[in-house]
Amino acid sequence: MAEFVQLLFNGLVTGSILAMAAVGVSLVYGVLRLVNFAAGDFMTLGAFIAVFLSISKGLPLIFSVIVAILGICLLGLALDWLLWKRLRENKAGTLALFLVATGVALILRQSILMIFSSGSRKFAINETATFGFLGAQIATSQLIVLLLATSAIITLGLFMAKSTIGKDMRAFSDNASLAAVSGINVNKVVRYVWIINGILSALAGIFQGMVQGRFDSTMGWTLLLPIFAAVVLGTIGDAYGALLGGMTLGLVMEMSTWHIFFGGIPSSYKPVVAFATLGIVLLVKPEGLLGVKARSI
Amino acid sequence: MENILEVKSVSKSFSGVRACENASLSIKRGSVTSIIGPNGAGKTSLFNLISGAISPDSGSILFNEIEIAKKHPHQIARLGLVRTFQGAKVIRRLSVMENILLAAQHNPGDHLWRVVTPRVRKRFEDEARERALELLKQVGLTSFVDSYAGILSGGQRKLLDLARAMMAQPTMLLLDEPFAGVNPALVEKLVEVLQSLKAKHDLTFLLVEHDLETVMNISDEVYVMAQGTVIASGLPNSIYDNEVVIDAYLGTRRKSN
Amino acid sequence: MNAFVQPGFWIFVLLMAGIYCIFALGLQVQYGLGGILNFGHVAMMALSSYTMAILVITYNWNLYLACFAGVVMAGLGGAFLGLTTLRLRGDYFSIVSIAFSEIVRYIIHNSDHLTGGAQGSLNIPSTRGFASYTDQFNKVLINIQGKIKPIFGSFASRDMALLLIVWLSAIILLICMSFIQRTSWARVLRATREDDDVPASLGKNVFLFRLSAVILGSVVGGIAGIYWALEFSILDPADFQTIVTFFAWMVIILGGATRVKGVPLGALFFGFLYAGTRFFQFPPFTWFDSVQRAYLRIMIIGFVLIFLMLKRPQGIFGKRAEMVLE
Repeated sequence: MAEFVQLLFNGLVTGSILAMAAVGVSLVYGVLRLVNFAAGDFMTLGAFIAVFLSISKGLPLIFSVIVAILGICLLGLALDWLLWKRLRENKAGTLALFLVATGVALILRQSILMIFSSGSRKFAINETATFGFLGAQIATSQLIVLLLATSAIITLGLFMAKSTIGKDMRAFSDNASLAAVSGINVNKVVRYVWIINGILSALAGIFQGMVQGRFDSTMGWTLLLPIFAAVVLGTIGDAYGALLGGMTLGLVMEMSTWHIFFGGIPSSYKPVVAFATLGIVLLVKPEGLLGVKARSI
Repeated sequence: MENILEVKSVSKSFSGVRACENASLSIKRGSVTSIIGPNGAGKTSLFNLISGAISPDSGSILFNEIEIAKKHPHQIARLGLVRTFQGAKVIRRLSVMENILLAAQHNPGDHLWRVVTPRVRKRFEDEARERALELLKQVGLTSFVDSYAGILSGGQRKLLDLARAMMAQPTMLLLDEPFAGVNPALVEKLVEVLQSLKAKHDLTFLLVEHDLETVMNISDEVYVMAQGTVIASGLPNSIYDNEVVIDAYLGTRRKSN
Repeated sequence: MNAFVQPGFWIFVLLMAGIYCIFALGLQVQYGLGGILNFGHVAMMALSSYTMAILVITYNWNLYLACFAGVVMAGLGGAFLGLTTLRLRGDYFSIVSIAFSEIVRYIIHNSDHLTGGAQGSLNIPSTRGFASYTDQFNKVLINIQGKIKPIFGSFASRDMALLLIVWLSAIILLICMSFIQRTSWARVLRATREDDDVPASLGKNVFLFRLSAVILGSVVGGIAGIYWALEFSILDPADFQTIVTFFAWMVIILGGATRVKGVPLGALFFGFLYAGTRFFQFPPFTWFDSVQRAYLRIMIIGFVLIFLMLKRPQGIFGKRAEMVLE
């Protein structure tokens, strides 16, 4: 029982972080048809900026986090202006978008290594502080992260459901050409997508860094595959689906280490578990959890 | 078996929206049958159901007494039931000849391992090429043999689409709006080609068209669809006088004319 | 720096270009004909090389038999990837294919008793006490070295001998591929690149055509994996990261995406670009230390990739028209 509670809690924490990042990736895909391979590196960069300002420069944590979020938003907007806008105008194909995104990911990761060097980092929080709950030992930092991530997700959900720009975004994801002719301001939607993606990626990166304790420049890349799995699981381009996919995968990944499953799958296989789950779901429902469209062959 | 195709109370809905409801057709061997109806009547959905692009929620489709409702498009095509597409889909980056050769059935070169038997491949390819040239002559596209299909005009694409479908040696052809967006001169040409093909190859045709006038003269039988279901059928002349049809469809046209 | 101006270094660069040429040919069959965006190609290299190494080291197989088994394994990997994911939409397939290659790497990395785990092939369990799979092949190379000595003189190194074998294989494969491009198999695949419905409506099983393209490409990728293993004599799971697949994509793009004959040119160009960046011994590059310069080299690959896709999506040797119809 104690183990179950522990794993359930870990699953919720991992799931909420995955869900945040997955919503970002899914929004970017839904509106821009861009599979953002740099999403993981956006997260890493966010965590590195925050840790650099709060630890190396001794600035308050809240301030550092805000600067990190602003930085990632600006990065997204700048890249859109520099690259994605041009590629959209060139009517670039999937391959071009894929490869440019990879190029961006490579450059970002190497830049992080170059600027911050390859050593691992740590936020000034005590991740060993725990409290007992139903026999399980829950880390206080995890609880805080879970609460913050959940409130971020709820805020986003409300924003998407209620605000005009949120509705426009969903209309755009459903049918871009229809949305464009119905008078939605495309550029504004694109700008908001990058801002929301920036907020979500930076926060997800910082949260992951806090939960993980020590982290290095590969943190985001390691998470990228589970994030993609979550996005595909929830039907690519569907923000609510990505939330569901992220939470599901987080829970499945953590639960898979429970001893009742073949004595517990080694935790190094978590990403494999994520994709095995995705594989099984896609075999049954090739269009993802919430999707309705399928191809005919 | 007088009927080559039997569609028996087929229904299909997409996330709650009815595309086809209890549609039934019986197509006589060697006939020309047309399905007409306003936009959104479910004509193309019915076509997609017959050709296997989508599978029905209920009902059965028999082609030469074989159940095809659950078969894939390529399996149905291999049985001799070949379709064309609305607006004529050609492969733009293949040449006109390559487009037609795509349709050659039982091509040994389609199997990757046949790369080791170049002679067998070449013999087949040479024969196929001859047949293709013959078909291109019939539709009058011989001057475009080696051009990219992407440069053809809309009407020429329709001719190519037709010739390509013929290359597959079908016993029945499904033509999706063959006359839509085609100028009157080309309509005549298309009708001529259709009739010569029919006479030569003992073919059955099933056409989907927007309005009755175009298919009046070439059809042996006409089905009228509205809101996903067949509302009337019979000889072309009898359709004109059918009350239900006039109400649902033709009446509005006549008034506006 | 001096080490890099020696001919031995350039022989190595050419050798690697040859391996990349073969590797990229496998990807080219899939993309150039069928438009399949496979981003997990590196898995085929990992599968073939590790299968070969394990069979030789643990099970004392004959090297050539083991190489064959390795290539078959790569083909099976391709079949598995295709069967499970090719029915998915294009974007889904690409993402899942990356995942496939990462999972293969994860499993290799974590299966200590089979693959040697993180320590690489040196740690593969062996009955002879020494985990080497190249003994048999080294004798052949020494033999070749002796034969080419009169022609190449002091350049007749192990790498030189392997270089000849690799480029010979590359040319043979290239000829095979151009043969295959003229079959109706390739014609149907080129049609599926543009549209699935038309070939299906003409009786072609589009899925089978795609699947066979992926398997063929995987087999060719597997051959590259064998040469990779023979060149380095040891394997490390870190050699098979996703970035290697992107190197192959770069080779294809440089060579002009849809033409087979561009692949060797692209591979040579890539080889020199990747190696040549070691020579940036002038400002601003000299402001960085050697570790930072290693990061910079990967960054330059990223910049070239972006620049190419923005300015010359058809590659250096390709025709723009072929990409515009995308």
